[in-house]
Amino acid sequence: MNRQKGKQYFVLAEIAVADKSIDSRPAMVEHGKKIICQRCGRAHSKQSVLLPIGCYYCPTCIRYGRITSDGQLVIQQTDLPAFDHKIVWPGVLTSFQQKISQQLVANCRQKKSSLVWSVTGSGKTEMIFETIRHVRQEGGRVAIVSPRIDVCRELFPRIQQAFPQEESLLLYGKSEEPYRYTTILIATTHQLLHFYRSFQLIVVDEVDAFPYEGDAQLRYGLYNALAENGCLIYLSATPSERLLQEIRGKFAVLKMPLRFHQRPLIVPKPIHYSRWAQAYRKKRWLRPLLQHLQRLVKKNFVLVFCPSIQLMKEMEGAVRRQEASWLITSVSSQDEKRREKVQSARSQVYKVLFTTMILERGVTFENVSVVVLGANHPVFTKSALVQIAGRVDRKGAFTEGEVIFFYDQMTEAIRQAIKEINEMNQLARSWLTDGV
Amino acid sequence: MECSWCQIFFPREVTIIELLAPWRIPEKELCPQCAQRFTVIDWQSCCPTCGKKDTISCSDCLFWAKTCPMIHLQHRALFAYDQGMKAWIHEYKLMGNYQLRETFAAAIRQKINNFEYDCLIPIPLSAERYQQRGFNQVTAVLDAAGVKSQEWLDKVVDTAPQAQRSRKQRLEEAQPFAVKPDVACEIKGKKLLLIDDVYTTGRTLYHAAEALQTFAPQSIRSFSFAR
Repeated sequence: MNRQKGKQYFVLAEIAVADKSIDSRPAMVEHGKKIICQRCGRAHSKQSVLLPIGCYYCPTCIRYGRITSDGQLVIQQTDLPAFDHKIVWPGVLTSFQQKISQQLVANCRQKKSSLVWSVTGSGKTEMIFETIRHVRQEGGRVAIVSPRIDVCRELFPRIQQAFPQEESLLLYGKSEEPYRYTTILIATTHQLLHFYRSFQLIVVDEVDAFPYEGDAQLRYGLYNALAENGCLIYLSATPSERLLQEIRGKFAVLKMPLRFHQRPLIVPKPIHYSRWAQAYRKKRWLRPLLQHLQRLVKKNFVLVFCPSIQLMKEMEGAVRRQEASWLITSVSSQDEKRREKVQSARSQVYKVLFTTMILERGVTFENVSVVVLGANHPVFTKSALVQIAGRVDRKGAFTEGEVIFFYDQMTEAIRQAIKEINEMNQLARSWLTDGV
Repeated sequence: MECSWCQIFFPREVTIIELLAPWRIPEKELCPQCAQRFTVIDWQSCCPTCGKKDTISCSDCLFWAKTCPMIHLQHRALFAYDQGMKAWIHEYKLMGNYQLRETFAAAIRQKINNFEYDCLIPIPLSAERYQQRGFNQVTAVLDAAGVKSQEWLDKVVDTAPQAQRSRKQRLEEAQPFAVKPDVACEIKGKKLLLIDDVYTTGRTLYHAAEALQTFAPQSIRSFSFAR
């Protein structure tokens, strides 16, 4: 039982009633012709999920272990000891970050949720440290979640470093470490389905990322995992229209237009490239890309974003044939060596790295330029383009990193992305001239 | 159309027959990506006694010929028991996603119709396991396929899940099946077709066949979803 402490799990009804020390509620609730799963919130028609033994089950969240209508969801909640922390963090917050950080703590005191809309590379993580500390002082439990596992993996060591006296755990679908009770939990949003009113503060990093964006099941899990008197912090560089609509009036929106180093965002250059989709077929069609690459690799290492894995592989081959001396590789979601490759890309091993959407966010490279091949492709939404552009000039000294969008048809997404970056830069300028 | 495994919607063209007879369009079907994960066994080139893919004679079959010389199952299976099939069985049987019974319903109906038989007999579960899983994985598929089956066997001994034991342990296991007493007289002279989900060592099906053999059926053959 102890290993399951603070986590929601499923048991058959007779067992749940027998143990009085735990809270329990029915796993599924009937609603007319539908039956609603209390873990993921999905309603199914009764007839489609009826088992021959006469009870219902939920196929939607079955990969977290099947729950049936003859059982209960139980959780053993515990009171946490309050703990006063000194945040251990080598850096200093800029006065702008300080301002946001203080606002977040104030909102949290009033139990008001907030959205931090801050540009890529502005040090979002550091700005939530104060709030985490505040919640821990009050004896609350904290969860920091993200839809993307890469983001979680990057967050975990930073949280551990900042709160060394606190027990924290990184939890995801295939995590090597089994669940144990910790005061700070770093997890993928999916894992929140295993909790019920457990956290006084939940921070959702990259809230606009797939698969959380628009997934009702994950949203249900998030609100279920939040304690009754708890509050949320959403972090995003590119909140979608839909998200802004959803939180209007409920959340405080805090904008942060300045990067940590206070240099403006790099504005993407849209360049017309009529044959980008077939560029690997002919030398002549490949030339525009090659010329830009040759120029860019002199100063930086280059990330090339492709809309599909297939095109990525073709392009990798074509460029390698032309420039045999360059160290080129590619990484995609289907790549088994994904983690190793990203790791070596960080240490500047490659000259050119071809990739798909997976490196769109959450990763930081130094000295990098970015090329988007086929920015008009539908996978590159406005948010994706803003995120991709945000990979450049995040860290270290300025190295004249560039962002190039190759397109053969101008799209609204490209226009909006460039417009949003310009607007944020403008706001940043006014902040810098006016001070805090 | 909704995929019967991954539940993702995919476009598919309607055939002329379906256009003329729209009630024959199935509700769900495997999408091309999911279909790729399964390997259909060609019954021309498989092992004639156990149905293993691309085999002529295997050591398994020699073993069974020695241990049970009276029984000639001439087993046939629909798919090879490979990565894709293992993943499907895992989700359907072990995780208990009852809706997946529809995945191969049409294909299984077609294959079963190729057999000459009087009675279909699914391999039963123990009462405890049935309660735990909520369904019998074999009868569920047969029901979805719309073929009639007779539950003439009982599993009287609750054995540990097959997958948790070694090959040797499985082969040494005692007879867990018993024929239901009231149907004993009906078996005589019938052509029986035994159905299981997976054929691995053959132990389960040979046990079932042995239990039925005492009541002198005309023949016993067997079919499984995977081999």
